Amino acid sequence: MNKTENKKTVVTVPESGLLALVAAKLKDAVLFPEKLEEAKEYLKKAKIKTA
Amino acid sequence: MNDFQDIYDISQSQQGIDSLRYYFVSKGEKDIIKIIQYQYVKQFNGYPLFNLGFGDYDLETENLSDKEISNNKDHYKVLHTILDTIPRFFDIYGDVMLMVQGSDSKPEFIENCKINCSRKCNDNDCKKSHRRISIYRGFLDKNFEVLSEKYIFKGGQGFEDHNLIEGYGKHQKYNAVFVSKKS
Repeated sequence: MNKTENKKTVVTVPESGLLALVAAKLKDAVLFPEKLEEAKEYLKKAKIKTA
Repeated sequence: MNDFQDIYDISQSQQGIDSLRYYFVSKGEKDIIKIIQYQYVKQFNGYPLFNLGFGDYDLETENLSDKEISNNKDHYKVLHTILDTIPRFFDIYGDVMLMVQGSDSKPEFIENCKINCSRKCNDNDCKKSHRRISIYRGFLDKNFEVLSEKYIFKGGQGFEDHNLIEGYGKHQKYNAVFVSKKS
């Protein structure tokens, strides 16, 4: 019987490389969409007090 | 806001003209990837207004959350790292306005908190709410005179049917802070 081994390999990535990887992964993702909506809602009800 | 000695190394990534991101790794009990995002919202009071978003990214689950409270015991270093990006943001975008809010200032946060919280806070005084914006306000209150040489600050207060935005007054309980650069 053939046995397939599923070994996990741990590699060390420099921090700058890791952050570049995350940036690339999230390149087209919309981050914090709810924050954007909250900000829009907040501004919709905003009144500016003039001195 | 960029005279801090002890901050994390950051990586910058600009997403078109309406979004700027910074990435860094918080070191402590565990390494946590942090993301700071400046996102264009709309034109407001004569300025292009951007919102500051901040959260933790989990590479394994690919989950991004602005609700985490990590125990890396580096909150000042994290705060200073975030604040250090603000002048960089203004250097890139120039004559814009920045809005800062805390994710624990929303009515939903207080409603959810009541469900599990053992504290007996009354309806208008959830002790766990507004902690994030308080950190920014605390820093600003302490350094207001120096920072006011370069920046204009406004504070926003929430009322039942409107949010009042006024010139920043120290020690006021604002739920949003607005920053623009003096020309």
